[in-house]
Amino acid sequence: MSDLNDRAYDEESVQGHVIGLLSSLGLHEGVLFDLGCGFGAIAETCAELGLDYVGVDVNGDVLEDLAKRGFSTALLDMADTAALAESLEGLLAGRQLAGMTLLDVIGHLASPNDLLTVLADLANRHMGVPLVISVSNVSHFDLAAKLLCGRWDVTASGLLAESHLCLFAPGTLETKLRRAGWGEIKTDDLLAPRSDQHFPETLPVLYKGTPLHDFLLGVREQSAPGALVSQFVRAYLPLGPTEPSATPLVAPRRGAAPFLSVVVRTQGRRSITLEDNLTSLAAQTDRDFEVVVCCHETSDAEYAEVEEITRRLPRWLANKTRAVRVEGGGRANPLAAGVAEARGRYVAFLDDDDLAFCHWVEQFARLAKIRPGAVIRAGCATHAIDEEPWDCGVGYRQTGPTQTPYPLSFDLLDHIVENSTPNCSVAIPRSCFTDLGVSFDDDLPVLEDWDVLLRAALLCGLVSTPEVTSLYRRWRRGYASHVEHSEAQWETAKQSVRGRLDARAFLVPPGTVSRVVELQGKVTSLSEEVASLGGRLGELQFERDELSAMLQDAEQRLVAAEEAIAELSALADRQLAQATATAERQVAEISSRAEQRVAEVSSVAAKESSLAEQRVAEVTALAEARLIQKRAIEARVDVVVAEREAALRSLDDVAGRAATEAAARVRADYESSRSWKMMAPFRKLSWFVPKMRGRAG
Amino acid sequence: MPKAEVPRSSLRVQTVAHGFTRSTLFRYAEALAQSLANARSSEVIGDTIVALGDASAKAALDERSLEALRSTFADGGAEFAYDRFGQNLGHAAGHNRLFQENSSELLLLCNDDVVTGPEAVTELVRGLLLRPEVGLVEAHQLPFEHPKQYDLVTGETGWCSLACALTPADVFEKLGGLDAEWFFLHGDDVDYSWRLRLWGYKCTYRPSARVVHDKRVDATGAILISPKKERDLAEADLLLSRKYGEARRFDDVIAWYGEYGTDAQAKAAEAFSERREQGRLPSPMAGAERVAFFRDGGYAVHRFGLSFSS
Repeated sequence: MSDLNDRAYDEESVQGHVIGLLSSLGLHEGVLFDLGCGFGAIAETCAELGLDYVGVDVNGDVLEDLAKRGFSTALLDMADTAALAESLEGLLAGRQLAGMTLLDVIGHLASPNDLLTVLADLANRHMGVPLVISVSNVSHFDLAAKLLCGRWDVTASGLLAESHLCLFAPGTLETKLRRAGWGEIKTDDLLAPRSDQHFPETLPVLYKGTPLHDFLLGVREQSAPGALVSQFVRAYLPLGPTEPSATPLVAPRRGAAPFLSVVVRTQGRRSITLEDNLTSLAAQTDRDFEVVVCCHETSDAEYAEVEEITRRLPRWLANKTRAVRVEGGGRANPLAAGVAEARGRYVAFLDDDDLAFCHWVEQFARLAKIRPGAVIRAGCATHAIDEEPWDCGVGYRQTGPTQTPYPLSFDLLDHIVENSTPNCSVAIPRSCFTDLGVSFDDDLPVLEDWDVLLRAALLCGLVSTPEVTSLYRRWRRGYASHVEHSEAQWETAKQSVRGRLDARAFLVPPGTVSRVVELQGKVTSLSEEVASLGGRLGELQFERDELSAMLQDAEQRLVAAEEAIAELSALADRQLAQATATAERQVAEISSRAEQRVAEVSSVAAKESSLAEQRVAEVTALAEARLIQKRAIEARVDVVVAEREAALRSLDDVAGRAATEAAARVRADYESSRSWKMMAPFRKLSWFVPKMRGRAG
Repeated sequence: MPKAEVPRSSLRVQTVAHGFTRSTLFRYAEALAQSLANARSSEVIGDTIVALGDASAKAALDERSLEALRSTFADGGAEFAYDRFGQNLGHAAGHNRLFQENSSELLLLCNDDVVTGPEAVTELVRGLLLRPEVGLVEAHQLPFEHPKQYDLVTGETGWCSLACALTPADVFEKLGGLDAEWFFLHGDDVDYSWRLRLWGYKCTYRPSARVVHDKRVDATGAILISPKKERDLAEADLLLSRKYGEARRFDDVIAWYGEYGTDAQAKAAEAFSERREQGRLPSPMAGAERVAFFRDGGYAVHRFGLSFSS
């Protein structure tokens, strides 16, 4: 059926790889149906393995040849699947079926699914025997490269044989076989760095060393396996009747996937900041996202706490959030696991202590519409935080102002020199991971995000906004990657990232030429400046030498001056000492005289003081005597006053009594005389009595 | 550290909303409902009612939206009350009006641009009830904290933002609510805090009660505010200066705003000069010097710089 089967057996041929697989599967007895056998290139080798080879084909000529070589044959049409199973059962005639081969057959069928399904049923009826298939790979790099140049060279045989009705790439092969009920168990694909499509000779894209070839091959190899495989040679076992596959034959173009998958990396030890992180997602203005919390190396208790945190989120967010456990590996591993879990069209990453501003998703979505397929970058702010004990655990407080130290625009060349984009400010098309093969490298202890950013940006381009949408928080104490890893580790990782980029051909974005020219201009300008500074340096060195000589001279003079000063100082010291001694003597003499005079004066003063004290005593005694006299006089005055008051009181009493008695006498006289003419003298007396009383009071 | 338990209290949440969108309102509501549900499951709150004061001039919520809000809060175990003001009464007057219907023990004031964290309500209630001398507890705002200094053990601080803060309802009533006579949108929080302290209560900050306050920053990291808000803040600053500061300070601020301030501050200074001539300014508060603090445009010692951009 195929030209490949016409070739003689060769270990490095498809047939050789098929025999290798059959042998590795331990097939040493029973019937082997070689379906679409052609000239039966594997017949003799199968017989040597101990298999009972039966060639099946629709071409009677090739079967005749096989029969002449002593092998059983059957003239059957693979397209007539209704009759095929029964015919094959008949061929067995009770013998044990060991396996089947379909070498370069299914590519020639318009609908291989029917045949593969029939064969799977047959295999299941015979203890699940294996099937070995070979088929051309249309995703071979030669074909892809030529197609980019607009070439589609159909040939009589080979990768693009004119008789091919069905084309296979790795994904389609797996999908078709699985749908038909076969599961792959072994592969031994045939590599062909130069396939039969490696023409025309002058097409640069086909030749290693041309930038176009190296770049495209790099993309192709990174994207999916099989870039240089000309024939898939693979072994399958039937999945069994109870394992129907739901894999669709035609890949869906657009599903219900959210715009963004947010991968949150945590070690489960910062539940408080993780809760904040998820709360910042609850505050997003655009909810077209899902959250995958990747719990790296967490204990059961830590994982349970993370799950509890996700359960206590607002319901809409809790329904979009799932926690997954990731074991082993370094910092890159949870990110890679998150990407594998992601369903969104873009993937963004947050560490559990990062925060998103409310328009984080919104801005990513806006830019994705402007430049679909590109890596998205937004501005990022930062501030410092420090651990602080709270009632509910180890909390934190902000200790510094919010700042924006990272450039708000993206420059690829600057970023190749140094990473200045925090991971939380980037969203990457998921296809970049799944279809272009970009992945987080777990061999990097740090800078795994920088590595991915550069590789993704070089492949997809990058669109950015200066809008600040995320917050990278720096711990003053506690765990942080910048303190957890040594400087040597950082430097090694940096060299590794750059080295791998250097080993590949890459596309550069528009504007790079201008940027390179600009940088070259700067280099030239700096070189000129360096040269100019070199000249100036020479002048300065000359001046320095002159100044050094002057300095040396000055130092010598200084030494001489210091010696002279020392001599003068010594002389001055001596003169000072003499003057001091003279002065001290004079002071002593004066002091002596002064003390003598003081003594004399003191003596006179003492005498006068004594006299004064004596006089004071006398005056004091006199004063005291006068005081006593004064007190006596005062006492006497008191007595006299008392006596006067007593006398007055007595006089008042006498006057009162006299008035009373006089009034009594007058009343008595009146009564006795009974005449108004006698009243005049007594009215005068009654005026007198109150006057006397008032005086006494 | 084990969490100290507090008695279960009835709670009233009040939000005065103006110029909101349906999506931001539901963002606030869904987060608040969950935080209330978590507080209920933590047994720190009992009967709860969420009162929304709609200060939009035109009707912004239809019956379906209101029913959806009612259902959202019901999921969080809370009743929902809606009061359509029909005009923008301002923050202080809006809260005072809503409070007239209060029958709860605790009062949570919360902005509609705030997204409460899952444990925010629980932590605020614990922060208030664990210390009887506390009259006001402020939540920890994300993505950046206010820089005012606070005591690391007690959380005591000079004043509290009312973007999301809890106060005992009887204290709110005793103080006569917020000062709506002089403060419209801003400054009423500082005023309430200082009046509360004059009564002998403490203002505290509860860092474990985290909420997101929807704020953005510019290219330098400065908080973005509208020119109108900048002017409102300047006017609030002048009102506080007048009510709590020395007369000289008030004059200095007006002069500084006029000479060195931004356009908004200059306009505020101009307006206040006129108001002073017309006698339309608050009287100085007795004892203000015991609680008031003015430095570098702030009302407490700051741990780090705070800058705005309009």
